[in-house]
Amino acid sequence: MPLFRLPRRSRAAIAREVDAELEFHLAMRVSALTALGLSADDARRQAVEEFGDLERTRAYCRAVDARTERAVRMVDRWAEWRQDVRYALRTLRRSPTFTAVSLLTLAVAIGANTAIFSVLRAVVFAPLPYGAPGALVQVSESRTQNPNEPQPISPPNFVDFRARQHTLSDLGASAGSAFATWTPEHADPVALTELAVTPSLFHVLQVPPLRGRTFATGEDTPGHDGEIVVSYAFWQRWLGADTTVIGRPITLDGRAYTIIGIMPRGFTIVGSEEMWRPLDMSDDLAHAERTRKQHYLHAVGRLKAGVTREAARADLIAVARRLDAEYPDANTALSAMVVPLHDAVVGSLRPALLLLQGAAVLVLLIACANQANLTLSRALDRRRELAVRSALGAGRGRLVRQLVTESVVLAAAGGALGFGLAALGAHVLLGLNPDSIPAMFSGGLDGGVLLFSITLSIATGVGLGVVPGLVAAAEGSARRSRAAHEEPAAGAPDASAVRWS
Amino acid sequence: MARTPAELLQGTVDILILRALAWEPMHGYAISRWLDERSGGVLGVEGAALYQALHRIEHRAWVTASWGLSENNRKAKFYALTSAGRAQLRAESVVWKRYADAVFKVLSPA
Repeated sequence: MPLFRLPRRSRAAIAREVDAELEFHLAMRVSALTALGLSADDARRQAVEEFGDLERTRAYCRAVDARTERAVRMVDRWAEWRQDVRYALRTLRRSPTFTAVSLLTLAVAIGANTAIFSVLRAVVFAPLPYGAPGALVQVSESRTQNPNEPQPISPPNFVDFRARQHTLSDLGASAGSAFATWTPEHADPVALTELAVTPSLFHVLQVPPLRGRTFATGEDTPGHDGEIVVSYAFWQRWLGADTTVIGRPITLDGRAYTIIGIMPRGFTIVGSEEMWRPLDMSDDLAHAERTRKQHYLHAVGRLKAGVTREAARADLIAVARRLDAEYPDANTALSAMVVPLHDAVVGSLRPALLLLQGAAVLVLLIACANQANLTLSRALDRRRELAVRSALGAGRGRLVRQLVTESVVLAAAGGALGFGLAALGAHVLLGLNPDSIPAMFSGGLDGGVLLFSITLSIATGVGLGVVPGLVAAAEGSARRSRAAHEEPAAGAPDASAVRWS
Repeated sequence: MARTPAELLQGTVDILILRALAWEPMHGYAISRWLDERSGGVLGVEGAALYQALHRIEHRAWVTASWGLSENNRKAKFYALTSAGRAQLRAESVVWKRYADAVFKVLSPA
């Protein structure tokens, strides 16, 4: 990079320079020609003719110069920025305690925000891990006097809802999860979480099994309900990820079952189950007059293509009215609710997570206030250094940028540490039992979270630097002018000047 | 002034300018005089090609420009070779010499 260069030029200045340069050339040629004896007019005419396409050259040179100017400015800016960063690193190295304390504070604050954001994003913003999850709805019963209070559905009502509605492509249901005892070979018995589901549920969710198959229609009737589907985590942990387990018998609670399928990693319906068995409702249906009052099914439906949730809701409420009329004893004031499955799953988590994120942001703000305080007091300590830099020609803007660069460097390093901290924390947590965390809740630190972390760090850095920077710059220039007034030009060297370094 | 041969390629103008500036920093008019004299009037470069080339190689950072006073005390834009320009001149000279030798060899009677 040359030490001196032309000052920065505007478009008009570039045009003037090109004109002056070309005019100089023509004038030189004209005077050479007049020296040979040509008249001024003839000389001018010949010079222009010899030159070639003057206007095109003018336009070409202006355009090229404008490009050159832009490139030069970019190089300058980059060089200044690098100089600022180098200077910032040197300054931070010179005060290791300040740097260490700041880094730790920022790392913890940014790390906490990153970790919580990764979960928040996964839970609140990410789609559910099912096929075409936008069309999935949770279907529940409710009472007309309390229409927004969901209740599980009783088995006979479920069968009627499923048969009479015409807005959902299908409806599936699960009972509450239960424990089953299983005694592996050469090991102590273990309690497993199992979930009884209707065969239709897997088809409604549109998740194909990793291996084998899920339940077929009719595999939930007595004598045909001896099959189970196991989770990926169970398969990994207890069956040694053996691909030949399909078709193998397994005894649960003393009853023989056959493993027919393995679901993909992370698949879950209620969040903790390890296996699924068919839900046999035949007994309940045989005693419908009694069981119509027993509400324990959680139903999920899939909207038919082109059907709105509102239409499905109206449809199911109409069915509920009819069921109320037909079974006034069991279905007094029966109504129905249809909510997006995503809302039903994360609805209760959303406020809690937002609150948590809010708390983490507050922690970051407190850390920032603390940090700004430190930076400010340090900036006051550095008045002399800033005054010197200002006296050497650093503009006010440059001084502010210097301090902002320092805090951005600090915040970026803190952010990197924080991201590492969050990643380490997530890694340790996941390492405890990697497959048990359902996919829908496994945050994971991916590009999006990294982007969040970087943005947060830079915003923090800029916020931290601007105010102290402005204060210090104002302080610096005030001091410089004061110094100019107080100290005579030929005065004895200031004793404190020796300590400048 | 000799006419610029139509086939005098853009790159050739660049290298001729670089060669002129390797002598000393000059303004555009001085470069055209220098080339004219050095080539015995054969390699005269017309003004349009000369100035377009000058601004082009300034953009490539082979030369830097600054305003100074000409020999007759007029404001003129002077160009000076940069180290990148010097390297470019060396590299291009080798290529040109090889090319010219080859053409000469083909044209000379066997």
